[in-house]
Amino acid sequence: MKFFLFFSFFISCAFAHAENTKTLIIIGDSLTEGYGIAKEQAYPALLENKLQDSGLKWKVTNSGVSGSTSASALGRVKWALKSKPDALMIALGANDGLRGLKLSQLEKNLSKAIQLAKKEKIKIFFVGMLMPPNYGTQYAKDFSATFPKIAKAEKVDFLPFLLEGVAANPKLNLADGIHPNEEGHKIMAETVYQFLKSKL
Amino acid sequence: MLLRHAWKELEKKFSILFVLNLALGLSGLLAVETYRASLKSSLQENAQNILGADLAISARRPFTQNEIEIISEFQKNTLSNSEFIETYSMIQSNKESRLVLLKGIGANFPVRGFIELHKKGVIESGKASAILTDNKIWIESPLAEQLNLDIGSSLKIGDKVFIVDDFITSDPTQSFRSLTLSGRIFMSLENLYHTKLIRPESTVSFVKVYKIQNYLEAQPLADQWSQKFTDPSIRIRAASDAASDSGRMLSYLADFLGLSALVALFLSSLGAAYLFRTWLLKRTKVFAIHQVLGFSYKQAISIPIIQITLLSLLAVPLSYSLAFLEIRLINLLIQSINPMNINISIAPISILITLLISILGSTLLSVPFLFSLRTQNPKELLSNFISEPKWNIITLLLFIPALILFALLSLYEAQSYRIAGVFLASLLFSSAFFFGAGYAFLSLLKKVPTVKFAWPIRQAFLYLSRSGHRSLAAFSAIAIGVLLLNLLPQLRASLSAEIENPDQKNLPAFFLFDIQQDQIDEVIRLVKEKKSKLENISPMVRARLLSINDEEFERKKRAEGFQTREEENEARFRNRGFNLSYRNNLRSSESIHSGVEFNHSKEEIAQISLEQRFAKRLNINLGDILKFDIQGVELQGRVVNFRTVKWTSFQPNFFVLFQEGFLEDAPQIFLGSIMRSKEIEEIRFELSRLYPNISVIDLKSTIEKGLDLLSKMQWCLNLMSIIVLFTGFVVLLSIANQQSELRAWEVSLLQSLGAHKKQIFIQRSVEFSLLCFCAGLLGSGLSIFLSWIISWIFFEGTFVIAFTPLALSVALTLILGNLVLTLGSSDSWRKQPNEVLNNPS
Repeated sequence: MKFFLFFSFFISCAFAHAENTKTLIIIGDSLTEGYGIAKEQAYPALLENKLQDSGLKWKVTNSGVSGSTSASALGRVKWALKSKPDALMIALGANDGLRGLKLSQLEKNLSKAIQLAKKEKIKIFFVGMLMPPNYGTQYAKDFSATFPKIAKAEKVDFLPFLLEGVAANPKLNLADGIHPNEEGHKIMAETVYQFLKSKL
Repeated sequence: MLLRHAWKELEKKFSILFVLNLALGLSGLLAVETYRASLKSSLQENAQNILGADLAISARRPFTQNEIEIISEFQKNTLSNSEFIETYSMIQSNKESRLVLLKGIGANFPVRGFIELHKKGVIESGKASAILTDNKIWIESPLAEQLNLDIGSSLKIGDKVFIVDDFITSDPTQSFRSLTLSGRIFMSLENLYHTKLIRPESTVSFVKVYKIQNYLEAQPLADQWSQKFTDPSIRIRAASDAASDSGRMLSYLADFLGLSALVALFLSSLGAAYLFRTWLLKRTKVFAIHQVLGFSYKQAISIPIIQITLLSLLAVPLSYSLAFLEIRLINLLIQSINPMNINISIAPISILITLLISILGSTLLSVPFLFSLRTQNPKELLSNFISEPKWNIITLLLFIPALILFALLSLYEAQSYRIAGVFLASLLFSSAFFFGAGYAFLSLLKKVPTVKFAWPIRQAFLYLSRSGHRSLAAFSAIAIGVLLLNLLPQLRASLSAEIENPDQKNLPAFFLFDIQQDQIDEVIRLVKEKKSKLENISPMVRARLLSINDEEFERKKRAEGFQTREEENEARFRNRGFNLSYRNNLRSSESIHSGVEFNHSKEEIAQISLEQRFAKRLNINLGDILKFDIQGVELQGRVVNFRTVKWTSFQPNFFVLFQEGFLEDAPQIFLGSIMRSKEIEEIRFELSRLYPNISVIDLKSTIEKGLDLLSKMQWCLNLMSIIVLFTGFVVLLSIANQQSELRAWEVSLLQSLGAHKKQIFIQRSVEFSLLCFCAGLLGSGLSIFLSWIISWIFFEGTFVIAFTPLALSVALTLILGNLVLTLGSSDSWRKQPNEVLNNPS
């Protein structure tokens, strides 16, 4: 009983393999989870539809956890790798910025997670994030620079900004001004699709 | 002429007793009414000061011109208003960089309560913005310490350099935000814009706050205002938010105070009605004499009405004097333990209510009684035995004006249609029940074989069963009295159980969030090394609720979008995911409301426990199957119980709890709490140094404010219950006294027939004890049932039976009844039987 969840996770991925469908797991935060919107309307589900519509047989697993920081990255990558996915996308770090956590720690956490995933010789995709100007010019600059720095050091495919064209647009975000709404997720799915389609 | 005649005919001794009894009952009502109003306003002020404002309109974007125009319309209904904007920013000091919450305050800030500063002391409401000018900032003490700043230090925020003017030691305005992760810096609204941190891409909260007359009206007002805004990004919140635990308790307390006033009103009215009835019974002979002497029926009926009105009028000033004495006495008793500094004064409206009950009530209650005498032969009325009037449908219909008067008074006292309605319905049901039960009880007495009993006991049984209406009236009056008397202590016990002040030694000092799986053992060890303990460790697994009994739970946005603001809010709530936890046992702050405990059986499907209010909101029933999505894996569970969670424990709690064995392998984080200890600051420092991802939330000030309000609520509950209890006994005393007085003639008759005083005393004592015991038992029994219903309807919380007041009310009714009997009879013993027999009125 104790390993119920692990077996379910493993079996669902195994079925995907059996059907010749490859698996992409997106490890992220509330932006990936689709906070406030239905699971089918969050960008991982929309991305799966787009991939399948374009003839790419990929199953996308939404492993977004609201409020999670880069500190959870290593543990979650370990968990994800147990199901032998074909690709892994890491989209964490926004909450580190919003909580003002040390950027050196952010870099360390994400690098460790990527290094672990790389050992499995699977496709790794890494997603960057920007901070709003109220966090101060210097912090915002240092924060946004951290992600390309990690991508360069770890030599992984890098998407510079998940919320490109979505951030700070009230029409594309929920009332909290932070989380994208259904329209925002459509744009995010398109951004990620354009980034992935030639790489999968 | 009639007036003079009525006045002359008033019998001195009985009239004095009547006036005294009526005044006693009314004085109790006045005391309750006075304390209720004073406590309510005092508690309201306390709560408002803690909450910082009554209403807030906020958005995460600037308000549009159209919205500002709508808001200006609303502002007309408020007492004062202010605004502030908040944004998070990273601040670099010479020591290190920190996340801070910048708060730019507008004119008139804060609208409620005060801000306490280290040097300047208390800054009263409305005055902060006038002091915080130029390039001054106020900074929270712990943050200043972290940034190594002193008063007079300079600090660059964005593009502007500020001077630290003072340290904030208390800020009531924080309640409009959930727990914040950082320290706060206050500056003027204008200066926050000068930092250049507020740009179109910035994440900023724009908040307008309002002060209104009555904070309890904030929620309906917020609902009303919400209708005007279609954009869900505009948030309108009442400080006394019914969804918040303290807001819910304040609203319960207001309902409780309303119920106290209703109970006092009915106790006093019951006493008054009983007095009017017995007085009128005694006047039936005079009424007959008047008719025989040639007075018209109209004139004959007018005389007792005038007399009762005159006596009631006399009782009113006496009741004020007695109430004044009672209030002085209570004030004297509570002086040293009064935490609220309440200002007591008898309100004019309370005086008016007393006047209405005594004068209008007496007249309205007399009419049906006097009407019932119309058909009776004066010869019957002239007999020395006081005869009971004959009731028919018309007579009963004549009670309707009196009922309407009491319904209106109830509505005023409760200040809620719901409470007044439920209370009146409960009382009508109870009265009918007591009459029925009383009738059955007296009929049963007739069948008791009394032949073998001693004469006084046999006589007591016979008297009770033969005196029909009179015994039934006394039985019902005592039962209703005991019911009313017990209602508040029963409700108080249930409410107290919910707001019971926790043992302060067991209160946490810090909450720890976001402890990773690979960190938990290290954190436990670190805290232990510092001679403390990480407690209430709770795993937290993030999940989406996909379906309830295979019915889709999440709400997708359709092509045409959401039709209403409410529809969108509901969808956002359903789609935002839930935090699950798992463990097999309940914590000390939890109890099972319904359903069964986890049974540890090896079922394929997990067992789930839900917090009962959460289940109610989602319309989930016991046995329902919930399907969750945990990061791509679907997991089902069956709801086996609903839990109540004692929020005053300040422990981490979860709406959804799984049994062990299903979620252990899911990606999860941990929460925990640390108790107060000497090493607490050291632990905090070490945690932030070694595990910067762990959020350490200081609960000290939140808990202290919460506890302060809790103690005041407790105090109010206790005080009101005691005052109402006192009023109730005064009323019961006056009923017993009146009953005793009414029987003087019979006592004398028995004496003249050769009965000894001892025999008569035993007979009356058995009779009265039997009546009091049975009526008291029934009244207290029904009070449990009614308080359960009222708790269920109004307080939706735990129900607790308070056994002490139940036993006490039955015992005291018995003791008081017999005491009054002894004292009341002493006068009859002193008189010669023929003296009483010759003058029965």
